[in-house]
Amino acid sequence: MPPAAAPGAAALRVAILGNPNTGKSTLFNALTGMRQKVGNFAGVTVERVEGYYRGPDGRRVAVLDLPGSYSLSAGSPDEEIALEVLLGRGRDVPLPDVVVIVVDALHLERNLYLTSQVIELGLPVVVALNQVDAAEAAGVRVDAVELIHELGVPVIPMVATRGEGVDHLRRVCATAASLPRPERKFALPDAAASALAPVEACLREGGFAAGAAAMEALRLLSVSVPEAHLRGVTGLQEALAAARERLARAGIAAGSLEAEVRYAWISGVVARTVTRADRPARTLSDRIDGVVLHRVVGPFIFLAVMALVFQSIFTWAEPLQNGIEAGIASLGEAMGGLLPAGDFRSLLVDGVIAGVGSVLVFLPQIVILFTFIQFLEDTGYMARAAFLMDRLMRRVGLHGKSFIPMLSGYACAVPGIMATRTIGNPKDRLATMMVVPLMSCSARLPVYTLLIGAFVPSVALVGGFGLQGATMLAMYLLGTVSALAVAAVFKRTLLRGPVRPMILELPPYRWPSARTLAISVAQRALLFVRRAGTVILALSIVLWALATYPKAPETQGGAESSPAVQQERQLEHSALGRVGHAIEPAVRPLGYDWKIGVSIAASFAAREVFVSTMGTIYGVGNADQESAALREKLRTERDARTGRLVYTPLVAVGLMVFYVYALMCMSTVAVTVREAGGGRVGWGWAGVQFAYMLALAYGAAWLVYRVGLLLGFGG
Amino acid sequence: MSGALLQTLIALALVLGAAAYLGVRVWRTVAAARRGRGAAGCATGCGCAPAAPRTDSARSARSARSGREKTTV
Repeated sequence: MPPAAAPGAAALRVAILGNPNTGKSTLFNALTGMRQKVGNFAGVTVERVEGYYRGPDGRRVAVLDLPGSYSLSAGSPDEEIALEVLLGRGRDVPLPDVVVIVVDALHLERNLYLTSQVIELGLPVVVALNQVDAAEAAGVRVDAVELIHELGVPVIPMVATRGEGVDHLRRVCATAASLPRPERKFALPDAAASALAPVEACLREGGFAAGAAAMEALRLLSVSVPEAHLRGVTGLQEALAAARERLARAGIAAGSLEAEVRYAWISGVVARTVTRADRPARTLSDRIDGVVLHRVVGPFIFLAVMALVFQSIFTWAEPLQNGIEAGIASLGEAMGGLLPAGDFRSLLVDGVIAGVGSVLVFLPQIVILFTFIQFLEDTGYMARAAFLMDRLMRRVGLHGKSFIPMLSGYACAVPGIMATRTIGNPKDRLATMMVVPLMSCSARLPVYTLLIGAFVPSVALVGGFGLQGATMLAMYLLGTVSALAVAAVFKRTLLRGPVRPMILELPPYRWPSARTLAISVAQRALLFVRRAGTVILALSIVLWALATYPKAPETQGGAESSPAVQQERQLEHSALGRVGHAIEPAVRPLGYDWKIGVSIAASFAAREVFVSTMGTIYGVGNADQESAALREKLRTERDARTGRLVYTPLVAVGLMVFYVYALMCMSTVAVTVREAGGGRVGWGWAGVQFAYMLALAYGAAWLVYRVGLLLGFGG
Repeated sequence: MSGALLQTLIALALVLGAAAYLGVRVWRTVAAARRGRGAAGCATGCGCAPAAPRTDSARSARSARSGREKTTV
């Protein structure tokens, strides 16, 4: 693989386009050496992504990975991006020199629709006939040479996942711009051609090239409201209305004309290029789907898979977590021994090592969670999960497509909110955006794991599943069910609208590539560590300062002079202690003390800061327990006034419920502002999201605590 | 200068640096929210952005600053 080229102006610009889930991002990664997120389901890429490689002729080639699209009719914001780029109307993106259309060899007929549209644009086109191995395994053979004759453009058979055909594609891309420009391969009926001529003329006057104008004129017959890139074309609406009228007089249905003429041509091409061997009536994927998509059994399998994931987070991560905890404790002790007593030593040991270390110990859990999620995505099971959820989604008024963004929300709400771009209807999009942060993201994992590990006993339930795993599953389910309930409220009030059916393509099951899986999990782990080493490190330092200054006056003699008492007094006297006591009345009804209150307040920047703040507070305040793990400190923490344990299982459950609901992530707020339209509208929706989630969090935590007390769980 | 005072000064310098870093991150987050949809949200520090290309750190850093690239799910 050639290395990525140095920054600078590219000599050649290649855009990669194709139907969803045809392997565009896999090809992009193979070409550029980048590690763009790939997945075995539609809608993984929602924004243009750019990379580079050095071509065989030494030229620098810029590669643009565009979101998947079934046609050039922009039904959703992500599809609009592809259309604008290909028409040379994209913001900051010049017209590509070569367009690579990734075509799934197994589904040639459906893929050729988009191909036929792009060919008409008159740009140099190369067809990457991908997944020929899967097609051949299914008994489908595509005659690539015949396809070249039919399409009039180069066709490269390839298997992008294995890198087969990638070098050939690079060579063809290098020369494609000098080949004759492709043209429309079929003729319109005479009446249609004459009716569309004025529309084409209008588009050409608006700056469109001849090929693009012809393609757009035909496409726009089935578009009710022309997209943003056509707003500057004067007289277009009138010309279109006149064309529709002329077609109606000629007995031609304008709305279906494009599909009819294209599919008529495509069926001829497929008949001449594709041979199919006799296939078994049911493939292995069909047989697996018979079980996992069963109306009754399917949801139970889904729940069982999720339970296995969460139980393994505790069972498998425990030894690794203990090892990291011991390592961090040793590091703290070693640092404490190396430096003389003073503020810098306290900052290192009680602030940095205690704060960052308390978050880093959850690295094994993060790795296990993402290994499972990536494995399920790569096999194609997540697409089945979306199918299983569709009935439920429709019942609450959400589009079936909403499940993929919600699923992404399990990793992080930011890409989840961005993935709503695949949803065409603005109201469905907004409703999904509003509830994605309720899906428990990986930042909540340290909070859940800390509290469950400290307060939920490791008791076996059934079939190897334990109470800890079940509690974790319950938190994730609570978030998911609440997201659906809140979406139902939005869809019946502020975002009322009809429910649209979802058309979902179920990809064949694939055994994930170990390399892809390892890279993806390593990226996630690296991001977690990087975050701990940047934002959480900085916050830990600031929180240490707030917990250390101003210094309390030292007392001499008696029990009051013991280090533990002095440090507790220092914490109470510090800025953090004062802030904590100021906000304590607000959190007392939930059963929390000022230390929990201040940790919650600090975690408004990011949820896992709750854990690092607790680490810093108990690092500064518990001199006699410096080497103990944070969960041990929490278990034994007692109220200075009453002598009672601060953390009971009831308080821990209430806290977890609070974190299920609370929107404590600045990045999520920022991305909501932008994706909801920016400006006042964007800030307005972000405000609604933040406020309703905070109200839910407070209300639910209060309810859990009060009901728990009534039921006698307070001890 | 005593050892204790020196430690206090070092600690305060680190605290100021950390506070400045957090201020920049907050400012960038708000700025990203105000940019158009073409901008990347993950440059704001959620830590969810895909990794940069292996051999092109300069371009990656520039992209992160301009917020133009690198965000997919």
